This record gives sequence, structure tokens and C-alpha cells, in this order.
Amino acid sequence: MLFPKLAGAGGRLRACTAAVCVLIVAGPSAAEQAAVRRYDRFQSVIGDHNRLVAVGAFGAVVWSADNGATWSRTDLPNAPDLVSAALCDDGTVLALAFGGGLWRGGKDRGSWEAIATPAKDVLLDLTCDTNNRIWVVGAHGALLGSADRGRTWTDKSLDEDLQFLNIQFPTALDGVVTGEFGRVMVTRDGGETWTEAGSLGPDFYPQGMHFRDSLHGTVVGLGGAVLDTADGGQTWVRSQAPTEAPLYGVRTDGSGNIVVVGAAGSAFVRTNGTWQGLAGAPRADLRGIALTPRGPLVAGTGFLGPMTPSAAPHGAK
Amino acid sequence: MKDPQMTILHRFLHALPELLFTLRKPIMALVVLVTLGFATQIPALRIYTDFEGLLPQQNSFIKVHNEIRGLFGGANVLTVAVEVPDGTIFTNDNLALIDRVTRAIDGLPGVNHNLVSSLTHRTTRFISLTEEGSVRSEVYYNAALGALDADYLAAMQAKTLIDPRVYGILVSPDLKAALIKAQFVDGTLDYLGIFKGLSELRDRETTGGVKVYATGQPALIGWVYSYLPQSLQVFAYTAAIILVLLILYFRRFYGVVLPLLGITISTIWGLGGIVLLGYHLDPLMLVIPFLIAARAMSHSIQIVERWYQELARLRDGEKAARATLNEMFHPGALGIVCDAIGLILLVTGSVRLNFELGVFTALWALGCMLNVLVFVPLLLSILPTPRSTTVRHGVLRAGLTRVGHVVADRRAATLLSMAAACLVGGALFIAKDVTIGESEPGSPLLYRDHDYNLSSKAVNELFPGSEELLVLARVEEKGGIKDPEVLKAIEAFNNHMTNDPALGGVRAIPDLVRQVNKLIHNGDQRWEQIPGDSLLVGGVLFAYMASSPIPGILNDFVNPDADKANLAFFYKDHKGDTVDRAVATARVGADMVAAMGKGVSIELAGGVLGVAAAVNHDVAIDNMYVIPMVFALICGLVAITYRSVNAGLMMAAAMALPTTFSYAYLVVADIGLNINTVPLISVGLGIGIDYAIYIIDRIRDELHEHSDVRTAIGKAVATTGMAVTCTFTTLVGGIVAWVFVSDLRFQADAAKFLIFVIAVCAVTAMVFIPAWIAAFRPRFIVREMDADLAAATPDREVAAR
Repeated sequence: MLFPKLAGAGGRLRACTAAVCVLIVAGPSAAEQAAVRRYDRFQSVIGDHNRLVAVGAFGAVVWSADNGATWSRTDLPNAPDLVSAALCDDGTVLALAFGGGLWRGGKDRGSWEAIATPAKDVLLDLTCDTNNRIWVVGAHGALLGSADRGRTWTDKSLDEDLQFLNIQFPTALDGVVTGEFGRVMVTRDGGETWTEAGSLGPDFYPQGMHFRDSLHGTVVGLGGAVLDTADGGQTWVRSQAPTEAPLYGVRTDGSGNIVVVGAAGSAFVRTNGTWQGLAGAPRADLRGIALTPRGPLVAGTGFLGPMTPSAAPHGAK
Repeated sequence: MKDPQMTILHRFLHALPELLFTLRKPIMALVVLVTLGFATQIPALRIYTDFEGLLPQQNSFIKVHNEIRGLFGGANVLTVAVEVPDGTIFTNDNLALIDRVTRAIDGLPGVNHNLVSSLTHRTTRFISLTEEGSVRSEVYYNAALGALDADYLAAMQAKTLIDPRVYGILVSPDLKAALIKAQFVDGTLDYLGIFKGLSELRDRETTGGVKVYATGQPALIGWVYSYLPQSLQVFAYTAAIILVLLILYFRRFYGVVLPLLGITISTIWGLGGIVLLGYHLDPLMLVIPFLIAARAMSHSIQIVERWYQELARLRDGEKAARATLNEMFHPGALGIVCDAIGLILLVTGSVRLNFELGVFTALWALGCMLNVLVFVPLLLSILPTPRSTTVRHGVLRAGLTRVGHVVADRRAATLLSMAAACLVGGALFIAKDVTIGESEPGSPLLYRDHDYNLSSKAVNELFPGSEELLVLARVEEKGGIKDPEVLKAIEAFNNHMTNDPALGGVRAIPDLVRQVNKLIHNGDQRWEQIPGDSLLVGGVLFAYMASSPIPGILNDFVNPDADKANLAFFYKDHKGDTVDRAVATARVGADMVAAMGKGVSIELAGGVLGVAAAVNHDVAIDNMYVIPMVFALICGLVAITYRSVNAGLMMAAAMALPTTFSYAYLVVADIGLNINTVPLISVGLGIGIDYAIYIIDRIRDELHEHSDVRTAIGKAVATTGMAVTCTFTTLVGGIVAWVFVSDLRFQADAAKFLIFVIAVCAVTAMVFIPAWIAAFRPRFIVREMDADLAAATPDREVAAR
């Protein structure tokens, strides 16, 4: 269930209180002290149990140990533009910089160390599988993995003029990569071998991707496009969110419901095939989604906070 | 009897009136010739408003403001908002209305057709990416399509909501209003033509609850120019008021004609002088020249009045004229010099308009010394002596005599002195709340309930965040702005500014580069980055430029040489707090960028907030220097004239009351200290303090004839009180028409304020100064007492001292 604790007014109030704590600041000095700042451009937010971590431009790393009730912040040195984050089962957090750098934070999130990667071009997404192996993807078909916390890397890149855009390991063995031109690559052996799966369409650009298990996943793209698979990426079913806006992020829950977010504050939830708008975010570009016990938590330009279903339902197109 | 202590200068000044009278024919001939010479210059007088002259051009902020406007445009932007009464703008009727207004504005003279922005204009497009990543650019509204169905209108509204270039910018957040902006080409614009077209458009479209608001510099200048004919109306009213005053006052031929002659000659000199100096007459600043002209007339009135008094005594016109010149020259000259001090100190102000005004009005005032103070008595000396020499004003004189008796009583005088101290304290308490600068949207040139200011307020409310602070980022090398490190330094500055919660938004090149880079990478948020080298940044900017349907799309952001960038920060108002905080934040940010050492410097600041900050800063500085200088110069002059420090101190006390009351008035009238009010305090004090000089001088004179200080004070108040009343009513008559006729708040406020200041000065001179003299008997006054008279009728109070 996406909104288990937001049914009552108390839940809503607590959720809103958290947002207010984050967003409303009293003045420049208070703003400089605040964990979330108006100029932040969050690209990713990840959650695991009570832990949440959001990363974005200017080296911003913002984390919460209480499901978003309170937040702390670290600005990484030299302000790298962070585009993705991952939580490993060993408690470490990974943040990927657009320029190719990788950062690992300890459990206290306050100390960070840089990890070198052999990437020659920009990197766009990373994940940490259940065996704590690190995987990164990026431009020129880059697909790199490390089983020893970044000391050595295995190169599975395609060396094509192609951007791999999203990577996820729903299980220890099953991994999925989606990229430009509708490319889908899958592995069933923990990343040793990668094979091409069903195309998303020759010109489709998957902005965001999420798999709830090895078979069921969703990608989103421009113009409100939503594509679902129920066979591990072999075939895709296309649908449309109730918006013309580009969608940048997607998250699925265990029941198959999905939350999508995109440009100009666009945010929707699909429950049993019916779309409903989400309220609570400004008209900013939204990309990161984490599903928390309090409901979906969304990250975007100048915003990091919970969203709740709006009163007016949207009919699916 | 010659005073051995008199210096050569004092002896010369003492003998000067007599010398002038001896040389009366050549002097009169000189005045006539000079008057004719100045008169020939008047046809070349230029009358226009120099809006640039209203700004402190030497202020570094204004220099940056001018540079930004020169490089990036935006000086002449007309902003029109159309607000519909019901529903949203997304109906066929409302969109057609917005389209009609847009077309009408596009047709105004001098509009740059490529720089018109409106939801219905061809330049406003919904740019999106297809699912495959192709760029799709479509106009929002096409009148050729005719009536649109509900689905089309709903889709247009949906597109608006997700387009950050339209939503909140061209369409209000509540979807009830549309904004139409038009930039005009540089050069001389037909402001009245623009204003006429705009007025017709507004009259035509303001029906059925629809509101059309207009603001921006072209609208403001149009309004101001539309009121200029009122100056002629004011002139006519003022002439009538003055004539009535003269007739009421004198009911004598010379009493009416000679003051009119005085004002005419003085004005010819003043206007001719403006031409010879190469200056122009600014209609916005006409109140002060009117005041100087009225001042010339009041001098004439006092001279004629005194002449009638002397004529009654001496029964000979020529002797009366000689006596008048002897008696009136010194206090008159001192008063004129004080006027000139108040006026010339305007040149120390930061605003060019005030500099020119200070120079020519001070010269104009000084000219009165010859063309009125000397010329009128000389003229009276050769005119036939009238038969009737009756001095009228019995009722007024009786009233003033009573006032004189009251204030001359030592106990009453002590109480009045204490009351004056309390009044100064009270005024200071109120004056502490005086604000610097304007807090309301719009222009202080016009009344707050004026259509222009109401329009500005409405536009501000409908489209929050429309007040700009503009900042210039500069690098040494051409193309340097494209350096990613420079862009990141600028971005760090922007982020620093964003920490201020009052900041609504930022328009700057780093964000543009990020947005375009994202757009050309399939709109992928992760590509919202500044590319790694200058060539790639250049490529991104070129892609943006090449895809634009209109030329000059980068003009808002960077100059063609790419060594200067325009950073715009949008705030919801330009109140003092907002301006101060924005500028303070920007200063810290500029220092931070300098410390980064990336070769880029941040220069403050233009736009509405930058200009407000500059003006507020300079007004505060002017206020800090000009008013104390007025005090120092006038008090110093009086101290030297009377050879007494006490005289200077008394003058300082006399000026304290009107000065503190002036500031208190500003607080009570809710007027901020601005480029208009600071000079007015200076001028008001300079003009108004004359009364105090007349009273002091007359008390000293009366002590030559009355050994009793109390009698001398009573007599001085009764006689000079007439002159003060006359001067006050003349000055008020000279400028009061501005209060009732002018729709320009700038002029009306100036007139009201000056009337208040000179009224306080008049009361101070007639009540408080005599009371202080009665209470404290300063030595520089009582030493004038004739020794023989004093011995004959000893004054116990003086003796006791």
C-alpha cells in the first residue's frame, strides 16, 4: 500500500510538518543552515527501512534516519553534480557524479570517500546489488561492475554510441539495464553475461526505470509515456499517464501500484490501472521517488518532501 | 559715529546702500540692459523632463544599471496586464480579447515586434519533446483557427501549467490574467503617441468587468508628459492668486505694479540665466523656480511697504527710497544669501537634476539682490510721489502687536522657550521613524492612487516577483563567460542569492546552459549540467540561438562578445527591507566569487532594486551632509554678520524647530526621504530662515530707539511680523496652485512640504525667536541698546545681567 499512514489527519499533519521543517526557512542564515535549499537540484532519493538519502547538483547529499521527519546535509568537496544514489546492504551509501566520480559514505553519512572508476565519459546511473557489488552505467554503452567496493572493475560495456540510462538488480542474479533507442539489456547470472531483451521502441528514451521483482518493471519517458513489462523486459505494454509533461522517475510497490513524477510538478499514482494526481510539490522538475511508510517522498528542483493524493482523480488516457 | 572696531569689509558693507543710491542712474540702466539681454535668450529655453537626471549618475550602481541597459536592453519595457472578471483566460472570448490587446500593443509606435511577449503572440511557443526526443515548437494561440473547442482550450491550459516560460510569467498563477510585454527600440520615442494608443486601447477594452493595467517606463513617461500642460494652468492660477494678494495687501498702484515688475525682471533674469548656463527647465521641478519668483515678489512687497512707511514719516519719495534702501539692504541681502545657500547646497546632492537646479536657482535668487532689493527702491526714488501715504493693515498689525506683547513678557517667553524645546523633542521622536526611499510599487512621481501606481500594484500582485535586481558578471577575455568554471562561479553566486527567501527567481546564463543542455539530450534531467569545456558551452548556446524563431534570443543573458553576463533576480517588492537584504546578500556573494579566483567579477547593481538601492544610499548620504551644511553655513554667516557666536547659536536653535518638524511631517504624511524631499528641506530652511533674520535685525534696530527690551521686541514683532506675514502669504500664493492643480505627486508634495516648512519658520520667527530673546537677552542683541537711552530708563532685567 502506498499511503499506509496518511489516511488519518494525524498522518497528514506529521507528513506536512516534515515538509515544513525542510522547506520553510526564516532568512538567509537559516536558509544556509537548512538541510534542503531552494537551489538544490535533487536527482535521486533512495530509501531502505527508516533511512533516506537524496543527492543532487553541487555535491548535495541530504539524509534522514527517521523517514524524512528530520534531515541532515553534507556538501561533497568540489561540488560534484550527483545524478544517482544507491544504498548497499552493508549500510554504505553510494553517490554517482555526472562527470564519472563515485562517492561512498559510511553509515553515519557524515564521512565520504571518493572512488575512482575507469569510465571515460559521463556516468548516469548506479546500483548496489544484494551482494554489495557496485554497478554503474553511462554514455558510450558504459556498463561497469565492481565486487570489491570499487578497487577493481569489470568492464561489460558495449562501446557503442549509446547511452545506458538506468540499471537495477531486482535480485542477486537478475539485472536490467535500459538505454537510448529503446535498448534493454538483462542478466540472469549476476552480471556475468548480458543479453538484449525486448525493445522499448527504436526511438524511446527511458528517463526512469524501476522493477519490483525480476519480472515486473516499468519505465517512463517523454510525453507522459509509461511502459510496463511482466516478463523481465522481453515485452512491453505501453500506456499514458494523464499528462503531456515528460516523466523522469518511477517507483513500483510490492502490489504493482506505481508512482511517476516529472516536469513542472507532475506526479501521479496508478492504483489498479487508475491514475490519480499527487499534491504537495511545487511546479518544479521532479525525478527522485522513495516509498516510505508515510507515503511517497519526492525529490526534485528545490524540493524534497512527501506528496499526497489530490482530491481530483485523473482518468487514464 | 564710526566704530573703530569695524573692519574695512564691514565699513564697505555699511556704506554700500548709500553708494548704490548715489550711482542709481547707471545701476538702473544696467539692470534694464541686462534684463533686455536675458529676455533675448528666453526663446531658446528648453523645457523637458530628463528622467536620467532623476538618478544619481555617479553612483556605481547606476553606472552598472546603465551598462546593463545598454548591453542587454530593457530600458523601455511596457507591461500590460489583462484581468478577466470570471473564470480563467482560457475561453474563446478572453483569448480573443488578449489577442486584440496584444496586436494593439504590437502596433504602438516604436515597438520592437520581435520583443513582444504574450500568450497569444507568435513568439510565445510551447516547446516540448516528442516521445522520441524530437523538438516540437507550436504557438499557443492562432486566431486564424477561429473558435476553439473545449478540448483545445483545456489542452492549452494544461500546456500553460507545465511551461515555466508562460505559467506565472505571461499567465497569472490563478489563470485569471495575462501579461503582455513589449520592448521599444532605442532612441527618441514618441511617448505621447504610445500613451495615446495605450489609452485608446484601454478605453476600448475595459468593459464588462475586464481590467487592463499598464505599467513600465513608456507608460510612466506618457503619463508625466500628459500632465505637462497643467504647468500652464498652474501658472495662470498663480498669477491670479498673486494679483489678488497684491490688491488685497496694498490697494495702491505702486504696491501692485512694482512687485509685479520685480517678479517679472527677476524671472527674466532667471530664465535667461538657464539658457546661458546651457541648462533646461524641468517641468517636474517647477515648484522651486516658482518659489524663487515668489520670493522676489515678497522682497518687492517689503520694499514698497517700507517705502510707504518711510514716506509717511518723511513726506518725500526720494528720501523715503533712500531710507528704504539703507534700512532694507542688509537684512534683505542676508536673507537672499541664506536663500542662495539653501539652494546652492543642492549641488552637493547626487542627482544631476538637483545640481542644475541648485546652480540656476541660487544665481536667480542672488540676482534679486540687484534686480529687486536695489532696483525697486531706486525706481521708487524717481517715480512721482503719491498723495496718499496711508498705511493700512490695522487689524493685522493690532493682532501682531498683541502677539509681540505676549512673547516679550519674560515669564511667557520662558514658558514658550520650554514649549519649543518640548516641540523639538516631540518632533525628533516622530522623526526617528522617517524612512529612506519608497516602499510602494510604481513611481513616486505620481500619487499612490494614480492609475499607473494602481496598475503597478495590480501587476505585482497578479504576477508576483516582477521587481528585478540586475547584476553584471564580467570577465576580461572575450568569450570568457562560456568558461565552465566561470559559469559555476556565477552559479555559486546565484545559489547564494537564492538563500534569501524573498527572492522569487533567477534568470541567468548558467541555468540557461543547463536547461538547453538537458533539452538537447532528450530532456534528460541528468543532463541538466554545465558542459565540461567552453566549446561545448558555446555549442549549447548556439543550439539555443539557432532554434529560436526570433533573433537576439540570448540578448537577455550575455553580450555578443560573451565577456559580460546579465544576472536577473526577481523579488516581490522593492521595499526598503527587501532592497537592503538583496543588496547585502549580493555584496557578500560578490566577495565570495572574487575569492574563488575564477576570473569573473560581480558588479552591483541595476534594475528596480539596484536603482532603489543607489537612490536610497545617495539620499541617505545627501541627508547626512546637506542639512548639516545648511545649518553650518547659515549659522556661520549670521555669526559673522552679527559678530557673535551667540547669534549663530540662536540661528541654529531657530532652525532646529522647522528642521525637526520637516522630518516629522515626512513621517506623518507617509513620505519617504527621497531625491525630492532632501533638497526641499534645504531650500525650505534657506528660504524660511529669512524670517528669523528679519526679526532679530528689527529687534536690534528697535533697541536703538527703545531702551526697554520688552518694548523693542513687541514693536519688532508688530512691524516685522507684517513683513513675515506678507512674505509667507506671497510664497504660499506662489506655489499653492501646484497642490490643487497638479496631478503629479512629485510637484504637489513639493509644494505642500515647502508650505509646511516656511509656515513653521514663520511661526518660529514671530513667536519663538522673540520669546528666546526676551527670555535669555543675548548679548549681541542687548548691546545694541543706546547707552544714553539705557541710562535714562534703566532696564532692571538687563542691569541684573
